[in-house]
Amino acid sequence: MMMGKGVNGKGAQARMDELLSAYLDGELSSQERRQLEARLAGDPQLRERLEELRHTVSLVRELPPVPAPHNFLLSPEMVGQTRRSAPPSRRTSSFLGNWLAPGLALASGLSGLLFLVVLIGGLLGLQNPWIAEPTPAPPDEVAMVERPEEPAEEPAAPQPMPESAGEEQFEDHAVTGTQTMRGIEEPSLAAGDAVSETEESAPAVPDGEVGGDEAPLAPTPAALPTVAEEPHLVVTSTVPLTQPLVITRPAPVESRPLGGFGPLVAAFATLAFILALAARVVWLAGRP
Amino acid sequence: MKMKGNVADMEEEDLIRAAQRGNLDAFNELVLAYQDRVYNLAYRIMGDPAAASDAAQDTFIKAYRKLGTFRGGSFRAWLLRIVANRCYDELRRYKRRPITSFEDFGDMDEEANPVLTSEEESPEERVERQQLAHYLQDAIQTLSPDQRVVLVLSDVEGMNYAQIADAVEIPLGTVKSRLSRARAHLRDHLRERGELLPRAYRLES
Repeated sequence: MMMGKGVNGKGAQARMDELLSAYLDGELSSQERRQLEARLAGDPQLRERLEELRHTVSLVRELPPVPAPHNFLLSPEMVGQTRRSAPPSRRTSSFLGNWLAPGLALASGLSGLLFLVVLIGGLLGLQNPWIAEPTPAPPDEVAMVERPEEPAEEPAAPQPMPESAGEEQFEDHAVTGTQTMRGIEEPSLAAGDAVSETEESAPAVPDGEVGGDEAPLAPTPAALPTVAEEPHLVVTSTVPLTQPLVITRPAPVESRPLGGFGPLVAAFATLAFILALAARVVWLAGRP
Repeated sequence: MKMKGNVADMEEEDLIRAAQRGNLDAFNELVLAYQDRVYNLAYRIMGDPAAASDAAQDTFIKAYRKLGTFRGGSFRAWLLRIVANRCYDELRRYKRRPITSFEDFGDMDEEANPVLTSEEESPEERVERQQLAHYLQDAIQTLSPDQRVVLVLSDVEGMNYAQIADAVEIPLGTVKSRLSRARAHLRDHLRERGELLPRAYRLES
């Protein structure tokens, strides 16, 4: 009967308020509801307490709805940009943005500079330590001395050169040149022909056109038998044998700068590019 | 599927599906449909038009981003959960947010807290209703963030206990006790300052 002002004071009142509040919302179990209604029936003070609470709740429920003061439509920019990044990502972004990206950019710039230095140096011919020797030494002796030493290797490197040279200036030998190429493409089929060609042309060289001037030519036939298994390789070297020595020389001289410094140029250019790309990626990733 | 049609003609489910595929126009239709409700809830919790606007805008941005996690059910409840949590976080972040005192309510123009007018209402009655609305909002501001969010979800939004428990992620019993304490606090507030209330709304003591 004395629910509102029980011995337990505030605690009991709070518990009773909780029951009344849930009762108003219809959130009591049927048993709780029946018990409370029985109490209410015999306790006017409790009924008054309930009415006060009911009135309070109804005042809040009757608060007029406040309409939106403006539209909250989303623009593509808002969806794409409004990124509330968490503190950790900000920390990494400051690290990436302040140190890593500029560092990579600097490294990229240095590589680019080295690339330019090497490239310009190569174009001016400053770096010719290797090539300088062959260039002023066009005499056939030097060329011929080198030639027999590496008969199998030579055709591989300047392969295109003998062919074009032979076609342009030595119509006679152009035929053997093209046959050689065919031999390379289809070794199994043309092997026999190629061998026969070499057998014919090789002996002919020392006797005919070249003559005594081309003394170093002698070793070539000597080398022939050793490479007989791969005739096409030998043929390419024999094609220019008669006169092309002077012509084959300039070609390597021009191609050597690329051979010697090409890798360096390419390496620095690639390095500069990769570093620039990395700097960009890091910068983008680190942007808040 | 009538997806090719004008977004304005789409049903809510279709709009949600289209928005989930990145159709911003479809999502903006949902924004127009729910912005009053979202803003009102934010305003009743925050008690400040600017803070409520921020909360409402953030809610729609977050809702668009998280739309992929919406798995059917009540879209309204889903939105209200987002705005309630956004407001709750904000209140906890700025616990000592200055409270607008009742004496200042004259500064709050009608734009911030408009009251529907009716033909039969006298100017005096209208002023009284406005005063009451401001007074109640002021009283709600005196509640702790915990109690405030639960009270507004229940008595402004009309959610039941289970919906509130789900929205705020607290046990059902906690909803019950927080709501009860919030209402008791408001009642005591009204009782103490009852003389400030228009006569019609005063609680009999």
